[in-house]
Amino acid sequence: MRRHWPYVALTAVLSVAAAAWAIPQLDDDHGTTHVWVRGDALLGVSLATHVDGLAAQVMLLAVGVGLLVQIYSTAYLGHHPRYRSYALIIVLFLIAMLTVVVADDFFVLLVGWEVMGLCSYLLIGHEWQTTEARSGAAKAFLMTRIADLGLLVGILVIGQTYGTYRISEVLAAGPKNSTAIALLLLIAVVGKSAQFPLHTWLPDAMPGPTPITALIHAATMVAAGVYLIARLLPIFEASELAMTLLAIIAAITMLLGALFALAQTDLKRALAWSTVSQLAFMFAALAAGDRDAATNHLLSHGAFKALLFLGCGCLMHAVGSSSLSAMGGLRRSMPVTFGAMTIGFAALAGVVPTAGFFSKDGVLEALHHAADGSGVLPDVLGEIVFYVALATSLVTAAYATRLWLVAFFGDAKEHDEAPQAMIGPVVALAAASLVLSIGQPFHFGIGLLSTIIAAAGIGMVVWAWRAQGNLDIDAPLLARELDLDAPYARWLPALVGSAARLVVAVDRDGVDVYPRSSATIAQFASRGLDLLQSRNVQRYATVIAAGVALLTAAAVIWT
Amino acid sequence: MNIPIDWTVVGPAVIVAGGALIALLVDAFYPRRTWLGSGLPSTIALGLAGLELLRTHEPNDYVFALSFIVLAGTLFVVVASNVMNFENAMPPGEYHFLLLSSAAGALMMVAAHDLVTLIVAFELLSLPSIALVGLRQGDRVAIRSAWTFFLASVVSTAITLMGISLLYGVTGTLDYAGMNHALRTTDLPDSVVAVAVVLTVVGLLFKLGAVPFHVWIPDTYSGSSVMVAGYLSAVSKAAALGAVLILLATALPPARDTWQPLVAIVAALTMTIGNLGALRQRDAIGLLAWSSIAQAGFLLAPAAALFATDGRRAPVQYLAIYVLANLVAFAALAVIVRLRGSTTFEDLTGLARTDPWMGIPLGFALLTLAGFPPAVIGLVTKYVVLRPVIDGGHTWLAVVMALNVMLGLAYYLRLIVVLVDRADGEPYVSPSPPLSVRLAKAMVIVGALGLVVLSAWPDLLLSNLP
Repeated sequence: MRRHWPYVALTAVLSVAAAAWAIPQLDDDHGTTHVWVRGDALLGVSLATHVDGLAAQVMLLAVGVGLLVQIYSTAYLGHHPRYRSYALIIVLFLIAMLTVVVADDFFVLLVGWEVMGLCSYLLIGHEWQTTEARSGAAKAFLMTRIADLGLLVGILVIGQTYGTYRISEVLAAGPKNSTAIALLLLIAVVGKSAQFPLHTWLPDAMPGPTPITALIHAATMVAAGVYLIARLLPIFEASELAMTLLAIIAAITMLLGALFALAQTDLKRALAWSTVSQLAFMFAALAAGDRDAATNHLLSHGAFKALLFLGCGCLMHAVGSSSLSAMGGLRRSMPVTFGAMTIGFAALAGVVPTAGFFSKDGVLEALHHAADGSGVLPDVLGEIVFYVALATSLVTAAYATRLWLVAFFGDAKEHDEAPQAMIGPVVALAAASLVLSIGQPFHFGIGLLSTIIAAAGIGMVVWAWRAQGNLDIDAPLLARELDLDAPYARWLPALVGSAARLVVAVDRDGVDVYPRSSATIAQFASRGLDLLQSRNVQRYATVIAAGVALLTAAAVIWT
Repeated sequence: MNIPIDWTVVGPAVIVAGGALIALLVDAFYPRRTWLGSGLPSTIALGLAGLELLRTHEPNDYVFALSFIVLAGTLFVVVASNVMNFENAMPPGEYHFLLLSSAAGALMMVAAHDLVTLIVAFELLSLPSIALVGLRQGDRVAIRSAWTFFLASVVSTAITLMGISLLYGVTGTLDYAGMNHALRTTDLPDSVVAVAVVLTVVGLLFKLGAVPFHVWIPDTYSGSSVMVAGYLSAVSKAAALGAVLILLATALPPARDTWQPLVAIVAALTMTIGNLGALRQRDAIGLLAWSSIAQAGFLLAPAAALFATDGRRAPVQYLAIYVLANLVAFAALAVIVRLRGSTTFEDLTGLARTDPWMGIPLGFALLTLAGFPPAVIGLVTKYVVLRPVIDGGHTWLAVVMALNVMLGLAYYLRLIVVLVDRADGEPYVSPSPPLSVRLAKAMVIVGALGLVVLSAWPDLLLSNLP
């Protein structure tokens, strides 16, 4: 038996510390800023933190899911030869995520942001002996890394505009130059949160271990983009262009993601597309200017999507594959997983009384509100986004039901229930998915509408299941995900390849010539000096005398 | 005749000179070949002089900083000199006497505000160090090195004296402040003033090893004991730089149009020729000799912009780091010479692996001298000297300096590559060294730690000097 408890204990200590920090701030709307190390003239970076209610909630989500995932992993990956590095990278990831959440200095935030990207890369590539893991890790890293340039440049622009890198000072100064800043930050956010058109890395990140998918690629890291915009919403709101773009991106992504999720034959990949689609929901709420709706959905999605991925891990543990065809009829042999995942799918579909219903209700209400023209968005666009969101809800309910039916119903197959250490976190998350709905605001009209839509989606799928007996969807284009990856796969390598050849040629013929020739000249001159250095004192005296004469003559002529 | 003596100013120098005499006497009556002999009174005298310096803090911050560098550098040399082979060739009493006499000259030289004091201090610094170079008994190379050094020294002293006599003729005084005043009001032709100033300054550049007075350096350094070479490259150079800076800044500002371009040209030539000479060296001591010529160029460059912001502080800050790094490097090489007998690149291959306690400090000192990875203090000081040059309007000189930093990287990094390379064949195992060698090793490590601390906390240097 490998020793797992030190890693769990380490994570637990970190979680308790973060919770002790976060919980007193939960109701603090203005937040508390604390400067640990003040930046000086040499290095203008302050180690400062700012924790308000929003940050406290996200902190609790991150450490909560992190701790559950760490416990879950003791059973899921405990016998893996590289378990130790895996567990430690999770801890590093959590620290980075907390850094991003609490940072009050853009450069500190950038450090956390990049370390998260690094941890994501390392963990996706945990099974680096397989080709998919390697290429998926590289793809995720490259795409997010390129998008991160937007964050870096955006930070530099912020520094130029405001003269400070402290987030609280920037927000207090009021929006300036916000279109440029918001667009640059948007690039980074779109990459990190896998939104259209940089969405293709997330489904390809699925070869990573399933608990990691639950932690990083569902609950926390991909949600950091949402958090960043929520934190800097005043800057975004000042720019109609950025908000419009955000709304369009969100609308495209949510529908595409949901449709792709519907057509998948692999449970994990379907859940990945579902994540992309749900993140777009949060961005839509932000585009409508409703920060609370977005963060509520962020929290409830964090809980139920982590639950679904961890449950998916239980199924994979039982049947040995994430393919839907390998599953089916697991209802009886895995009752606890079934019960918990039922709650998860219900939350995804937006069924009363799960947390997913209430948070989605909030998002829809915000979009409905934006369609009145009271927000930043043009009302036509608000209306379009609202209807797209309704359509997405329908598709979401449909694919959630489909996955649920295919995995758990049909011909019964005998498998063992997952071990305790895996079941425990799943049950805890299922409870959270229900508990988080307590005290949530509720809008009657929208709630009724979304319930009807969800019921319609569920009903259609159940009807099809009854009628056909299976739920195979014959939509090859959707299954191929509209070939949206093709431009990246085909054109980018060709472009980069020829650009690289050009650079090499220029470097060799236009740049290297100078260092090479100057090195030759330097060697030549050096040899000349060697000859002069003859150990002959008379010659030295001659050099000195000649030098003095020259210098004196020069000085006399000069003056 | 009554000559007023300001004891608060000459106090440290007098204590060091007294220490020199005591060291000689101790060796005469208590001849010990270990550190307990004349090395101990030398160390104590330097410590007392340091205390006296701290107590009086005279005559101003600038001289204080330079005196501090001289004293600390000499102390380093004295402790690290334990590595030398006092058993056979080097008589310890004479060695410490000459070393401390020379250090007393260095202390007086940086405090001099009068041309006669300057020339006396200059000779007090030079003559014992010439003897130090040739002190090794029965070593013909050392004698020849001392001879080269002596001739070059005499030539340069003659030139300086020529310049001083002309200056005296022009101004009618030998005092710096009076000279400053007289140069403003003189009605002699500019060319006479120019010749006087140039000859005076150029002769002083000899000690600094600036072009064209660099020719003695490679021969002298490779011929003398390693720690003596370290002393010449660090302490003697510090004193010369201090004297030149104070002379230029207090006595000769009216003639600045004459000497500023001159100093700039000499600095540019010095760093370029020093670096080019170092490129072909295959022996670490030869490399450090040439590199110290190049460093003299960097030390001198901000003097061309002496009246720009930080123009006076920059060379002193650069000097402090240069002295420390160079002494660490020379002391490490002295230990290696003692234990292995040679410092060619072949013999140094893999030193950082086989003897990390010497190889890594040596490598770090080289990085500091090169000023390469941004984390080391060397880069900070390179920036410190570069800024006044740009502020002072000598952009071409700044470009030459930048090019020379790159040129310097070529050979410093090559030596570092040699140090970390994998050694062929049997790894060298040194016999357990005697206590005296351990003392020198400890000094190397302490010095390297100082460099590390300063790298981590450059403010310690930048806000305290001078």
